[in-house]
Amino acid sequence: MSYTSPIISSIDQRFIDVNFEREAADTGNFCGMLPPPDHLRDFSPDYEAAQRIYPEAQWPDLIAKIDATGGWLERYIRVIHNQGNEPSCVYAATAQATQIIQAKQHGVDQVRLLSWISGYRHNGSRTSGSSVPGAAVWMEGTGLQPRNDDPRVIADIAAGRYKYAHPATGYSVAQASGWKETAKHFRTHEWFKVSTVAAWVSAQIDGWVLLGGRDQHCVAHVRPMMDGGRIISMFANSWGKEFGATMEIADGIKSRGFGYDSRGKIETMVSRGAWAIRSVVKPSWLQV
Amino acid sequence: MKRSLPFLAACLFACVTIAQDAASLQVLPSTGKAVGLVRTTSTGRWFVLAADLAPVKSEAFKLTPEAGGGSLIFWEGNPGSRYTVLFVPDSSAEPLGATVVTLGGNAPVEPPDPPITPPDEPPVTAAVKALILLETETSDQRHELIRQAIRRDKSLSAKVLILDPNTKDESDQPDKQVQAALKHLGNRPLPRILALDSSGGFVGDAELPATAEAVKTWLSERGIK
Repeated sequence: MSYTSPIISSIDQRFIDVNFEREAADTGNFCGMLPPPDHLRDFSPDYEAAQRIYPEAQWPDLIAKIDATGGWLERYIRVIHNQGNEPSCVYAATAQATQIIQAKQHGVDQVRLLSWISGYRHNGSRTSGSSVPGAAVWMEGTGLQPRNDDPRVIADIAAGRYKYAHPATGYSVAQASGWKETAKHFRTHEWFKVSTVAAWVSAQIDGWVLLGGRDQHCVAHVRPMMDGGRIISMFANSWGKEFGATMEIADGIKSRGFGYDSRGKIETMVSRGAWAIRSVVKPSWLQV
Repeated sequence: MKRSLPFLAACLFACVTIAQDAASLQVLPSTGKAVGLVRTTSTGRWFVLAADLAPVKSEAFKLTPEAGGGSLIFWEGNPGSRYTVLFVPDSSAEPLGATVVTLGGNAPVEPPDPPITPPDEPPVTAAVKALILLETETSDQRHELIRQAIRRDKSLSAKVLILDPNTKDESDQPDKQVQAALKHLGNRPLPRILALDSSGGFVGDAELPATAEAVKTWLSERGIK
């Protein structure tokens, strides 16, 4: 258990176990995660019951293999999100997770950036925030519109693949009539509830993207690391590029926006409800 | 190439429908060179896309009032190739603009006709892309390491889909490409890698090799790289 990921020596300690509520207040950013409503608390299967769980003694070796590749799910990220002054963190993180799975299935060049506000505005008020399982239900049934500032989306619309794009932010921006016909191309399939630290780390080792929250803020977790005997989970935040540590994302781009949670924070997240997404819709127009 | 005709037809349709009330995009002459020049009377964001939707490196210029104002986009491309140009005006009051440009210059030399195949031998079809069918429920770190190696190779990544056998489309119907692959495989177990020709026909398959290197070798031996 004495293995330390090489990247640990270079990460910025300011972004380990950040107190999101305090940081948001200090920097003018927004949180917005609500606890799971009772009726949705157990809507999805439990990861630990359905998937492989690695014993803790194996984590260092397995994480060393990840480190040897030089990166993990962060390499599937096209852009760090910025939710602006809206409490839409759950949907911003969900959009990021969905895009990561698009990249895993179809390739980074086939990722369409998604408008998280197109989902949040139906599931929260201007100030309320929202819950992760609520977003999961929305993503399985309705989906998100693609972003109107993504050239690939503009090209798709020109090619007649779907009709409507939407801004990433802007709670009051109305959606075009018939937008759900577009959003159904950008849905997820099958979510798993992650209830233990062992399930959390095992899912990360096997390449699942995780959504977890604490301090009323939700982020997408993308990579496990070891710091001696300590497990660390790296996340992609949605406070733009002014927050966080720098990592290499898709296409070799260096981007800020990352932070790190130690075991205590992971325990908090899994106790309050954390989720992993299994797959996304493959639109019929998408072919290699 | 199979995708380009309907795609371009759709682009042309979009061009016609968008351009009816848009500030028109003017394709400037390039005196036979393989460069594209398009201008318009307003300012905004330009996008140039190849036939496969890949973004093309281009340079946009704002024109001075002395030069007539507006903006202009310039790019270098392949002789004889067609490109879709999209323009998003800064003003939300103006609609999008779109046009298709075929570059001049010398067209690529056509390859010689292939030798005539004797009628008793099946035609040789080349693999150009691949599909990896992987049951998400039983996949593990080894599979993610393979996926990472493919996705980090930009050229290879564009040619490989990695899908669950239960993949669905936007209408919640089983994905047709996956269903065709499963039918082709019969009762051969997953995970499996399949090579496809340009028309989507299956031209080979194997048990998914154990390492990323072995997967890349399998693909490379079939011309997929």
